[in-house]
Amino acid sequence: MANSNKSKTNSNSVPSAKYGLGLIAGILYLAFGIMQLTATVGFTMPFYESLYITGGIFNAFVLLVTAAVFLTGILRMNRNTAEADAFLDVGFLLSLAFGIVAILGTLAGGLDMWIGEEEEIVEGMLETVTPLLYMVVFGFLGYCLWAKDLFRKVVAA
Amino acid sequence: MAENKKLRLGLIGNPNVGKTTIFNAITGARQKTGNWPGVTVEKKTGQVTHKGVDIEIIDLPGTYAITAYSPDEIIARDFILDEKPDVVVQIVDTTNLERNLYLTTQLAEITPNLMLALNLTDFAEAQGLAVDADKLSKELSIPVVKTVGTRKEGINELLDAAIGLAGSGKGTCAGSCTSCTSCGGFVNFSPKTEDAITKISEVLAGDASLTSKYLTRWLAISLLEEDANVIEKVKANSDLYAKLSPVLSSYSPEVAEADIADGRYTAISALAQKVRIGKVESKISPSDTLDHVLTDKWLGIPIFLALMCAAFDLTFTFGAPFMTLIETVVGWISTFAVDNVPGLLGSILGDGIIAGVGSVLVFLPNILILFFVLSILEDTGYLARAAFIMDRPLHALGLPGKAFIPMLSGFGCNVPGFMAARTIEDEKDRLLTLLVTPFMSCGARLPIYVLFAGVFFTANAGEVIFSLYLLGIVIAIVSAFIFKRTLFKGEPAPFIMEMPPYRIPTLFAALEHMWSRGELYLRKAGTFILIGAVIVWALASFPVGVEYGSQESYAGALGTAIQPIFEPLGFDWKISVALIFGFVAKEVVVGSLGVLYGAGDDEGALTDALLEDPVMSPVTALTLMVFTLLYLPCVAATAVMRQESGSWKWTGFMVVYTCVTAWIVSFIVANVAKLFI
Repeated sequence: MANSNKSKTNSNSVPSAKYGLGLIAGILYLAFGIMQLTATVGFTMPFYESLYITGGIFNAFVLLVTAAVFLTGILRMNRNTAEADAFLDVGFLLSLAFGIVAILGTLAGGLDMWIGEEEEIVEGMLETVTPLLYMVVFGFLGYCLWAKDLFRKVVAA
Repeated sequence: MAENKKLRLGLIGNPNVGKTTIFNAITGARQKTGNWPGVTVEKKTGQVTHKGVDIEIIDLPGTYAITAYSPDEIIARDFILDEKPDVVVQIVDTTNLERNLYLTTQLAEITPNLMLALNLTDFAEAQGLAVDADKLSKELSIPVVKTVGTRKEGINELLDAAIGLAGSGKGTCAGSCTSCTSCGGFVNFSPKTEDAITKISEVLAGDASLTSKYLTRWLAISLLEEDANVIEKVKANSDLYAKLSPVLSSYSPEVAEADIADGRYTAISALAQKVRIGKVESKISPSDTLDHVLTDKWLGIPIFLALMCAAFDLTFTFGAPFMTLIETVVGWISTFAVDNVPGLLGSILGDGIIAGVGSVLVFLPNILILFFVLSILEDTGYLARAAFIMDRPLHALGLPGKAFIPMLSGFGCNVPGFMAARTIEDEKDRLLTLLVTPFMSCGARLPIYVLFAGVFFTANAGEVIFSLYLLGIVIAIVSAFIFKRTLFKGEPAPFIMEMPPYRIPTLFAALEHMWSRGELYLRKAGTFILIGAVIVWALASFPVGVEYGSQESYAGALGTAIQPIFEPLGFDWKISVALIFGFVAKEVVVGSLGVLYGAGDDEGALTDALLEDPVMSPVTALTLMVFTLLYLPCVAATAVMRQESGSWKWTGFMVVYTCVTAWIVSFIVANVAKLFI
């Protein structure tokens, strides 16, 4: 009886690795979102360039929304684990989706340079990089480890 | 040669059960399908020959009941009642059997030629909700087949059963009896209600013209429910109605209505228990899990906006290299035409057709990408959630939540947007929605945004385009707010919408949807835009002897005549002419500018010409995009507005209102933008 209760609790709880990754992703998305916002209004720091933070209200908004989804999941951990789990899963899916859009944008930048017969294709591609592109690593990891199950359930349903 | 037998088959069912998917599977047509209710708002017809029988298939709008309230539901009901198809096939969502059977109980009362197609059986089986089709058929005494529309499974069996039912002679029942399974339905109501039905039926039997046309039991039930449409039919015979009045007044309509509904639900519950295979376990579905987040009170709208941002960013950035490619090809063709075709023909080809049509064709990749993304969002079931999360702000401002569906459809094209307003029952709410739908930025306006945002706001083009779509929504909501407090006073109707389950979209369906939009765009380029380009070329070339595209040409004279209206907005005569021709189709604005700027000669000519024109600046470009967003929709959409509103007065009002709004908002934008840009 005690064992069955224990297994029930475990099946409803969010794995600590998922919690950890969601927390890190949430904080980083928030930080990058704020930095993008500051860059948009003209305030820049020396390290912004190396992180490809070039400003843009769209990028800032998307980063902040993704951060909000992750952090809401973290905040709801104590209240409702199923709901927290759902927020983290959707956070990973959004991170993946926005990351794919960023990757396609960068590839398109390179393709445009190539069609225009310009030489600095790689430089052209790097100009289009945004934090959404490298932050996709969280979406990819989260999808492969956890969110894929939700995706599979939707396919099955 | 012997002529084939003929058969008319109507497809009916609740919204979003896959009727159009079945219709497409039977006929091979490519009618639009979608994972949300209300995709089909008018009946569509297709043909198929099966085993020597010519079958005409009619796809009817979705309806939850035949006590029709909204125009699309009335279309479905009137078709069965008045046109009497040989077979009525109700498409049933097997995952939601009980709710779908409510319509079955009513259909069985109005037609003896009913059969069921249990669709989405794959989803039902995956969820442990399988149904024994044979047992259901036996219980209802009607044919029942299983189908999976998306995989075209069970289609032959459906057609076999339909032909069998039509040949069974079941439909020849005169309908004057009250209890046979052919014309009495399968629900027994309480003794008091049954007694009322019998008494009313006896009186109705005195009118042969009525009972030969409609099933008596259904007429009796509808009279008890005070169905306005049926009362009107009966009132046509004043003697009959006089005889019926004392019988009807002895029964309380509220009690009868409640008893009838109760009888139906009791019968459905008992039936579902008998035909279900296996036991359903209560569990949280993956759709519920996703809805926790995507329809969240606080995050639902920001997530929706973020996804839309991404969609428009992708449309612009990923479309860019393909635009360059088409631009290059158009440049080559134009140069070849100008170099090799002499005289006036060379000019009409190079300066007119290629410059005009080519300027528009360049934006085909953006159209394809945007509709591919929207198709993915729609097929997953997400857009239905978007309607749900937008209900609260819309309702607060006086718009019915249901208005968001026509508004969303309007993003594709205003024509289906206007038609989707049919799902709104309340006349005032429907008119209100029709009046604000033109502010939804249709796909035809996208080329104008991509051109001007790309040229004058290169670094933030995606954001500018997204802001324009957002501005359209804001103006629509503000307009609705004003109309609701002046022209259409009253509380908006509550919004009830069934959330479809999330589904993984198929690449084929998304590509098909994308291509159907692309095809439409290409067809427009080959017709309206081509004709528009030739007319603009002619206006820019004549009278003989004037410099091409100069102010002395007819185009210049026309533009100069109307320019005073547009001058406060910063537009010159060329833009004024392009905007006038934009009424034919919005893409013609770009086509006309292509012709007037002589953009066919080489790659990127229109872009360069715009940058070199001293009249054009980022402020003028922004003002022009705002004006194009808001001013009257194209001629086709205006005609559909007239059809859907049934009024020239409201159509005229829409034309004037959109133009005045466009001018005022553009004037504000022009003057405010000057301070920042």
